[in-house]
Amino acid sequence: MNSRRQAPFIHTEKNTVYISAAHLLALIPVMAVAIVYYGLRALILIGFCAVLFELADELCSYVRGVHKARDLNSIVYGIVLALLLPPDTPLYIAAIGVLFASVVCRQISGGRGSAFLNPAAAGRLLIRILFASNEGALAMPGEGRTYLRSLVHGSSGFEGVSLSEFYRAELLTGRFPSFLGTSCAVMILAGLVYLLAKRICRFYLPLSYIGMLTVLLFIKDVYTGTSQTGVFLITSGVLFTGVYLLTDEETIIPFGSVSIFQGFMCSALTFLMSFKTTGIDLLVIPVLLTGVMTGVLNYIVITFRVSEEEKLRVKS
Amino acid sequence: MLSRDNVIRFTVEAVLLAIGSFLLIVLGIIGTNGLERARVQEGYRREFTAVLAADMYQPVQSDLIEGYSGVTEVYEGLDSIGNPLGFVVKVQVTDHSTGNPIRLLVGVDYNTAQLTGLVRASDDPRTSAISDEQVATILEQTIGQQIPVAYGVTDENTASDDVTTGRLPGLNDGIYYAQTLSADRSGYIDYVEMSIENGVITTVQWDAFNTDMNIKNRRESSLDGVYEVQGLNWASQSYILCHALMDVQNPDLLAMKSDGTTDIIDGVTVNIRTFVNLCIECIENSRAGFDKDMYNAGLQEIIDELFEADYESLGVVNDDGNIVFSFEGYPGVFLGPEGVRLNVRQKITGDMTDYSDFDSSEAELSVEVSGNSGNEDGVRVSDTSFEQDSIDGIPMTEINTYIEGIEGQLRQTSDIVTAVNTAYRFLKDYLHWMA
Amino acid sequence: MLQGRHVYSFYKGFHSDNALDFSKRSSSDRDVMLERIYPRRIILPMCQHRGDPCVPVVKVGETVTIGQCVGAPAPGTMAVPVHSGISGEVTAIKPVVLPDGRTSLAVFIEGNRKRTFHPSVRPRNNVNVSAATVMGIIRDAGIVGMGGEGIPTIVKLNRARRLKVKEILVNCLQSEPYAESDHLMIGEYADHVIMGAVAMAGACGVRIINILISKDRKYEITALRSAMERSFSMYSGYAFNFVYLKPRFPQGYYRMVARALYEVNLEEGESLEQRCRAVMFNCSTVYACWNAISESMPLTSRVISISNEDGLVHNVIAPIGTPVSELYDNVNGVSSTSKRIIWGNLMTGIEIDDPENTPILKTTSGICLLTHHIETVAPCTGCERCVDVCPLCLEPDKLYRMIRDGNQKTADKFNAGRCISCGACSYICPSNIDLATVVGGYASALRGTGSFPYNSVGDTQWTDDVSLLSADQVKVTESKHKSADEITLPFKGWDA
Repeated sequence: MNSRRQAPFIHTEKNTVYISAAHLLALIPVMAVAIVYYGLRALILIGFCAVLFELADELCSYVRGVHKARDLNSIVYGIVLALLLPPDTPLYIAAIGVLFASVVCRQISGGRGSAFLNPAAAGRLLIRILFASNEGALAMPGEGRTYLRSLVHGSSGFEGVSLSEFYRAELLTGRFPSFLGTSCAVMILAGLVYLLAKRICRFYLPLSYIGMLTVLLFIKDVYTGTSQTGVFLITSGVLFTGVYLLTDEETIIPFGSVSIFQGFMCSALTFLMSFKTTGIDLLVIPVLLTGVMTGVLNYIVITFRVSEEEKLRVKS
Repeated sequence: MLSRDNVIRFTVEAVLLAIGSFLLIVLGIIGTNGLERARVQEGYRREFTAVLAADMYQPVQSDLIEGYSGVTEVYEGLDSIGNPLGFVVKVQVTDHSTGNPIRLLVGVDYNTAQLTGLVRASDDPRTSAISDEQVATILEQTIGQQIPVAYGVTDENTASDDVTTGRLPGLNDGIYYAQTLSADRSGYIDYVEMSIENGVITTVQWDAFNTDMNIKNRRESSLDGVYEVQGLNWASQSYILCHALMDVQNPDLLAMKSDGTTDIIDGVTVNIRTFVNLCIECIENSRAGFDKDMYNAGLQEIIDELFEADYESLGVVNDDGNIVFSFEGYPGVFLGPEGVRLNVRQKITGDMTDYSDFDSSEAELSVEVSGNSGNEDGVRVSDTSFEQDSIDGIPMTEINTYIEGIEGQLRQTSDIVTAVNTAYRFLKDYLHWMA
Repeated sequence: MLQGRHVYSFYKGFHSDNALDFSKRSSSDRDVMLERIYPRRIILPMCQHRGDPCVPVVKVGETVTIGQCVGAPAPGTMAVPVHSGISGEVTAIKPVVLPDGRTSLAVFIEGNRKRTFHPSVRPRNNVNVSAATVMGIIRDAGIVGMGGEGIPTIVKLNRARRLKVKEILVNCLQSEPYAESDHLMIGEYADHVIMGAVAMAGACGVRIINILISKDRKYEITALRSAMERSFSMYSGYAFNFVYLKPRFPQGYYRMVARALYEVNLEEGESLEQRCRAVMFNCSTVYACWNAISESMPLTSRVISISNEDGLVHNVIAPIGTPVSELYDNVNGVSSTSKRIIWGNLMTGIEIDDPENTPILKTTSGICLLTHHIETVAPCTGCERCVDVCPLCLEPDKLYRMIRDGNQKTADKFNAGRCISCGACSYICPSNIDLATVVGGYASALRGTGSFPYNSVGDTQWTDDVSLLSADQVKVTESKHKSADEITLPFKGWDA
């Protein structure tokens, strides 16, 4: 009569595969927007990034001699990265971003669970730095759905469209030049609803991020006498950041007061940067800095806790 | 890994999400299509009104655009019910003094091929040496003129703009009118109304009203299918014929055969004799300065004299103001001395001058073209004659307007004119103007 | 809206996934599932409780009957007697290793296929006995905490009296997935629970009885209320309160109850009696007490949930000591070919290899049969779901890393020693990391050197007069306690 191991002998169904699958499904609405608005090139770009990310992760894990968890997480990162790209991004640029995200940002820092920077955001920022000319080429939704030349040659030109020309309904449905997946607020919110329904994400950080940003923008509006808060929230892509980048529990502190603090800091960074820059910088740089902040905050919290416990023991 | 139940659940959810998303997107697109159209039109209006006033604009989708280096976008201006008013051509040419591109919008009238506007495009990088004032100077000289355009030094003695090849000389501006004096077998009285501006026939309308005022005009009847002819319906053929005349400016060039038909105008199979005759009468009226109002007044006077009564009391005026009366039973009314058959103008004015053989030498300007004159396009205007050459790939025979250009700025003039002529070349091919 | 006090409960822990929560299904099978098992043999370890083992009082070859004492506490030890649940012959007395690692002497009894009861097992004519008598009965019936804790009930009663508690708590909060035994027992024997609660309140000298139950247990609540109405005329002066808590695991743990009801965080070594002036008994324990009082039946059997992975649950009444293999062999629909056999429930049980020689104990409320399925362990993703569910607000992910890396000092500062091994962290971990084994194991090792609240000297006063529950000795025990205690139970007119 001997025992083998102790309980528990059941496990929640919400394992890493389940969570990644739910994240993947939550991306369906924004992927649908990208495909409907930008056509075949969007579909190819998304598929390419997803497959390449998965392959790169597999290869790196093989080289490092570690077992790779097959949990769709790499595919999710690949898709998120693709959705942050301009519609007319050539495949070779996307490939560079994906390889950087997977090989450098993720695998070198230790693989799954060890990356402190969001790989998708890091890969996207690299593209922004190396191929700045690619950023301006934002195509109009609905135009050139079968246009594939951009996958090789990139954008044909600059679309000098001002968002002030668009109606609110158009902005809400994402019918304005933007990145592949960041434009349609309605669909991003649909993804959010799905994630909430599946109960796989904590929204301390995203909600504090969006909430604080709204407050800051509103204050700015009051101060300047404008009313740009709504338009900024809908069009800048911060909703995408909140729902799909700041719910990546690997690189953030997912709940608690520290998480809320992170959200506030992230929103403050976004707000300050909005005075100087627009576009992808606003979306990924605060997220990456939040990732760095996660490590620092964890260290501070542990150090603080240890010293507090020490004091209590000495007292007692 | 996922349990089987979860795999099924996720699959179902994925399908539902995809279907729901696509439905939502389609609904969004349907819901905002009107807004998008309004926004796009507003944008077009903001940009294009300066060159062509229209109620709406629509981009021209044609493979031809890619074939024309320099033509980047083409838009068609339409009125509120969708009739074409003109074209806006976005042209990019190289400013030869700096080598930088300049993007210009060229507006062209649909009916008359006249330039309606010329401005820098909103997306012009503004890196060229050509200024807005220079563009405005060229516009000032070309607006209302038919394209293509050539430029050079104008002789003051011969300065005139009525030197277009094929253009009839001696025409006075105004609206001229002529109608047949006898109804045809169907009771239709044909009429032609012609507008002449700057000596150029700008609009021509050919239609017929019926002596039975309950019957619609021939054009409307043909559109209703009541009046049938071989080939295209009569209204379309009338339209094509009128535009062919506007293109060639001379009814003689319509190549009417002895049987009254023509082979050179695609789609026109009807007998054009009546049309040609009425056009000739309008042209003669123009030369004689006998416009539409005088024509109608004259016709009324003839009827008043014939019936010794006020024509209005006879009920011979239809809703459009046309005098619906066939003189078929009154052959003597228009008989002149020596049995010469008179027209309304001759009957009223008694002027028997032959305006059909107008001496054009007094008013014509000749252009001499020299291949090595120092002028970039090889065009120089003299007071003697044209020498055939081309400008921007357009034979000089096609040049409709000559301008002075910008004083002392030949390069800039050349670049802007090239933009205008590029637009012309595209429209010529696109609209088959020379067909 | 249910009448009673609604408590938010502690804010962590978890409610098992719907896919695994088959309480409704088993409730629908209630009537046909609660059956009695008659095993061919039983194995009675002498130590089925927290404390010292008792001593076998039978010999190999001796015939025993149902309810007969086979193991008695040695004088001066903290132990309770063990009784036979079947009638038959003692075939062996030898040591066995229990699933939790303890080695204990055990009495092996081979059944004779007769159901012969010991003469002492008979309905009590007059249950209007004194508190001291109740305590004597409970002690002699070998009743221990049946929720899993295994503390002899008499120890708790003594401590409660000494600390002058104000109320007793009847714990009906069984919340582990697949565990239904308590709820089935309440549904079937609600009257016994109510009467037992009154008896134990009387024994403790308190008048307030709080029944703690999850608010989604509508059937059990109705059964208890009906039982209260039926027996209302038989007791007086005792106030019943229903306290409804949210269904979440591990709500029934005494520290969670203290936090939910009294907003008190119990530290290591502290008990409810000390800090909250309340004593808590599991509902099955209360039932067993009343069974001992009214039927003179010692603790010889209990309700066991036998479940498999398909969510099929059978609830049976089995004699204590029944080998696990006999349990599932006697239950229809449960496959014995399952590769993994769990002794206990899924969150707190232990996997065993030898079901033939592993008996159920007084504290065993379930047996689970699982197919062989090992989940792949993935790297920690830092999701901190384990932190989210830890009922003690620990940080299992960090503790796991600290302990794994040998950084035990820091782990101590992060309160690793407070882990109660509830398994919530391991259950919720998406990467399937066995946090509870590592952190809980470390905490158990630390606790081995710590103090157990019921081991204090003040709780051992009763151990001086251990007696075996037999027909001859009952009267002696009762009379001895009567002289020392004036409280008597209010069951006037009760006709057992």
